[in-house]
Amino acid sequence: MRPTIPNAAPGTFSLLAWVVRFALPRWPRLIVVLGLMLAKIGFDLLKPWPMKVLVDQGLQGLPAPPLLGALAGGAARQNIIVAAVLASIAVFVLSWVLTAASAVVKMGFSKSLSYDLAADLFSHLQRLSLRFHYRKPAGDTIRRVTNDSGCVATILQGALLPMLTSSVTLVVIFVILWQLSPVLTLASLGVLPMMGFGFWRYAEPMMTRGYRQQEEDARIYAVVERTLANMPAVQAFNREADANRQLRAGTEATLDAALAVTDVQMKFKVAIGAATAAGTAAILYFGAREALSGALTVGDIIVFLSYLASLYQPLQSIAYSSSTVQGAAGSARRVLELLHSEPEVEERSAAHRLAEISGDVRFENVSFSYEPGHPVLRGVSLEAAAGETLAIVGATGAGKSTLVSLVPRFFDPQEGSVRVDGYDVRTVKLADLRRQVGVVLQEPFLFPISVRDNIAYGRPEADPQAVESAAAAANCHEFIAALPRGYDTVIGEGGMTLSGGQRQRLAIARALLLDAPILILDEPTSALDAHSEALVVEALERLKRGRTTFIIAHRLSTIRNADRIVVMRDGAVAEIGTHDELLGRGGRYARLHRLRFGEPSPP
Amino acid sequence: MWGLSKHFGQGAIRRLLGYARPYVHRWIWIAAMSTAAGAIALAQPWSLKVVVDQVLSGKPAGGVIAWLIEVLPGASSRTGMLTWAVLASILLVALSSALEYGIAIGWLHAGQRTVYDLERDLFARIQQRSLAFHSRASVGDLMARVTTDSYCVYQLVDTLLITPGRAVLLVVLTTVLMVQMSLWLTLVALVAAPCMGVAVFLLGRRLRSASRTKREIESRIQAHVRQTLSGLQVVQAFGQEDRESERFQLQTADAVRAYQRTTFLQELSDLWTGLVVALGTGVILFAGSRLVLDGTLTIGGLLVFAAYLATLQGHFQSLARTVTSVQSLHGEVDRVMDILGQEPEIREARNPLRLRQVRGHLRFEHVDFAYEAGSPVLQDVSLEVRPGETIAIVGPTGAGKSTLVSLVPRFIDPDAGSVLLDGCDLRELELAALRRNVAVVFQEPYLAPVTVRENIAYGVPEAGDERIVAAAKAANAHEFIAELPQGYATVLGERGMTLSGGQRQRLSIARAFLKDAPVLILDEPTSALDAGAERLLLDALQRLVRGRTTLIIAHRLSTIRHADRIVVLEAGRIVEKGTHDELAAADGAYARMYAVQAEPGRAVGAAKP
Repeated sequence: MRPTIPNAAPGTFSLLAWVVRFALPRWPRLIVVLGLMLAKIGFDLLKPWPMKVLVDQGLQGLPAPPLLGALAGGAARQNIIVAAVLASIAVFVLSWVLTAASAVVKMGFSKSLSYDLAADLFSHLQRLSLRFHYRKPAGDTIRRVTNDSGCVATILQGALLPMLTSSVTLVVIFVILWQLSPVLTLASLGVLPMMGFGFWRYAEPMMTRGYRQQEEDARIYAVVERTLANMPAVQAFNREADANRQLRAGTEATLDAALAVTDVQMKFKVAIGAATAAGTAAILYFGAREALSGALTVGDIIVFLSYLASLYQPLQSIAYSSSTVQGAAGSARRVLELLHSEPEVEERSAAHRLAEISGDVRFENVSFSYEPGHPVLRGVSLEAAAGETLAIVGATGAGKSTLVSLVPRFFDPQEGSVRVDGYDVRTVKLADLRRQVGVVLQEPFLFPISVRDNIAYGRPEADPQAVESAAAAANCHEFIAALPRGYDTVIGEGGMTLSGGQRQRLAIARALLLDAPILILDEPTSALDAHSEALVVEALERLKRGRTTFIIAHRLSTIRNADRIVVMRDGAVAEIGTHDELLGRGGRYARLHRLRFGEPSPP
Repeated sequence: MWGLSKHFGQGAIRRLLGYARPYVHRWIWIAAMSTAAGAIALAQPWSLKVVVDQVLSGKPAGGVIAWLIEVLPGASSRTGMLTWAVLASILLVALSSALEYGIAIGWLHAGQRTVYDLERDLFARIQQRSLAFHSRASVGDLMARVTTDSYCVYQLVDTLLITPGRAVLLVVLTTVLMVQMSLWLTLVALVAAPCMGVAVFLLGRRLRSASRTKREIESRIQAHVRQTLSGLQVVQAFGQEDRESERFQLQTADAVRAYQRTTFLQELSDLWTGLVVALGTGVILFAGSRLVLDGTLTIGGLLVFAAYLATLQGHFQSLARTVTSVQSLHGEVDRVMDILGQEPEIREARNPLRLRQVRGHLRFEHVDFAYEAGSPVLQDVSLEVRPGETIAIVGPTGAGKSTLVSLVPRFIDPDAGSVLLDGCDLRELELAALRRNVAVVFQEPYLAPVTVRENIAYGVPEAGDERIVAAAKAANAHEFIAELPQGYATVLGERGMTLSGGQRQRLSIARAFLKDAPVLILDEPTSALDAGAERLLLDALQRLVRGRTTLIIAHRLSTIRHADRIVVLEAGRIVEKGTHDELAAADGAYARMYAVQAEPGRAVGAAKP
């Protein structure tokens, strides 16, 4: 199965639909957020009324409706003024309280949305095969998890919710205004087509340019990471100035992209602003005429103007937040691209459990390629009996690492199958399978957690005694005991504080504790010098005992100790047999052996 | 300024603001435009006032308005006045839109450029730091400093220079306008507005500590993602995906709480402001109403006052926020200054020597070095390498082999003693010229995600195709390159992953061939390879070594034996020196190592037949 990375970016509509689909399952909190927003709209709509009463009845002495008189405790001007002032204070304070409450709730909601998406991305990434990760720059992938995951919350709160509240406000305002003056209401609604035009004209360019800006930004990040992660090479080849130039080019391009985004955003804002201005002007003009003819009061005009503002504010805020929303749309595409890249290695729904196995491994006519047209393995068939040690030798690029990677399903073959105790590895539960395969790599990867947790990485439930005896068997116990905090010492990033041999022995302890019947050793000693190698080799011997072992090696001693030797060439098995058999056959292995070990020593 | 120097190192603010200096005219434009926008905002309620007072109530106008009514054609009638008021409101909106456009573009030009200048400077400085610095620093942390923390300069300019300046100007302007209408109400407003800033002071410290916690959690999350993804093979092999995801979710749950707490504190301070605004508005409305009834203030005037109170409040709030928001930049400023403030360990002499013809005579004289004080890595190392000589450096892990050879291209400088090339102390030479004369082949070759051709020409970008192909041929790389989909124009994956280890190493040897430097450093170039790959590589290496002064760190006997001399390093000291035969006969450290490697089966004691 090949990763399906969609070329065409998803359209705006499907993007919004995805955001809604993602948010809906969290409906209880969504309802609270919406409820608070609607309550706030209610208070905002109440805001101009005390002012209207103050102006019309309090200051201009227009007759007060009986209900108002009753509320104010008398229709006297003084009473009405005091009541209006108090009402205005109350409305203001309550609206602020609502604002504060909804801000806290919204922050919680938006952050949990973001982190939920980040968690989805993170676990998806962990399930993608190594083939995917080999091809994607790590910096870019990390960015998608930690930064781009904010996109759902941003789109929801920067675009969807404001639009929703605007619509609700619109309807409510329409109903209220219609009571006051149908003419003015129609005048203020005439603005809507203008706004629609603004959206229609600018939404798409804002999206695409926002996406471009994000891409450019990501390139800056990649340049910085690539350079800083390879400082020795950069310095050795005097490439600092060049890296600086690359960064400059990146920042210039990002600046251009940002200017393009801002340009279109501002045009959108001007369009919305022009509509607002036209609406305000229309209300002022027609309202004043109506007031002159006595059909409206000054207070009514105040209410109209204030409503117009609360109608347009959320719409305008879309333009304000548009930079982030557009960025978020770009982020959303990057997130979706990642979520849509299907894990090539996937557990079947009908996968069955794999109980304790004896460790018989069979490759049946297996073919594999990283890139179409460049086969790495071609029709490999091979069987390892339980408990047998197979050494795999061959030139670089012969497919040794790829072959053994098929057993724990780091990749799946395009053709043929790999069987463990007779079961096709694709039909069993992935976790069960990997539980049965111990791996020791050339470059031991340790996590920045304690030594104990590193050893127990595959079996977090292991008790301290088990951890320590695994460490002892891997020749680790002594140096661990000498560490500042023993087993609780936290390993520095990249395990820098330990030597290569010590790190490799920790990796062996980790595999020992896992106690899997199948073992894969991918050049475990090649990065070590002779002295540290002896201890590692000794530990490896203990580890191999009683397990089916595939060892990729180039040391004669290691190869000779294997039960059988598999010689690989160009993705196929060239020879197979014991050391003596192969030497006797005078084939490729014998040649390799002569080349590597049979050199005449200089006198 | 505002006692900031106690929060930041001396001169930090001044130094960072210096990055804004080249764009000072742009910044002035921004300040001017945003002040103008503020002033326009002040004019906006006036069209309503005219409509209410003059058009509807028919009150006589005063001041500028009276003058405008006189000057503008047809403005003396009520409908004419109305038309003009409406036109004015449209004009004001148009003006403020234009200004807003200008401000947004201006911010990008000035602000973003300022940030990028700082970003580039940080990047360049980090690249100048020695490998002693880089071996301690984490790439993720450095990246955050370059790409994220650099934005602090933008915020500093805004909060220190632009916002306060504008706020003070507009407060003065608003006050003047208000006093014209009513001195009494102005006084009420001026008492109420500053109270709004109080909460910012009261909650500032807690807010700061909350946002610090928030950032720390964020960076923990980032580190965790990074670690997990870079060790993914192990994560998958040990089936720990779910546990890593769980750990991630635990951290994010903390983060959500931290965010909510920050917002809560923020809102608490806003709530206080809101309370003061509400009470202030109440007082103004009440007092204003009395003035209107007395006839000393018009209804329109009262409306303008209410609007201005909100404006004043906004400005006072941003003034009050200045100090706290600058203080909240504390972490970023520190982390940026940490890079800016430290001089690179590796510096060029004032008048550096430029070696014309390097012969390649190397001398280490009593060299001491430690990455951390108290744990010496090299101690009193003295060694002479004649031009063209090949020295193999052997010894256990941690003996200081890589550190020793890192001194030659000045990745690090010795703490004591010196390294001389052709009799000149390396520290007196021009750095770029020195590094041009030293080629390094690393154990793990770095390939950039560019074409094969550009990768080979990495040290010599101006090299022509012929030289590149010749270098590739000498490195036994030409054949496999020719088989790549686009030959020399094939773009390599981000980590050159599509090539095998041996192929990648041969590319890096081709690179060294092209560079053609008289001094060569090989840091375990073959250790990551198997026998078949090693053969092709050794062949290429032997060609490369010819005629160059070579330091090779190796652990294969086959490689070591070919060296002219062998240096055995143990715990940072040279314990043995000599040819293979001399050392093998000497029965010292080398002979012991040699025995281990020759018969590992016996040493391990687990040989099978």
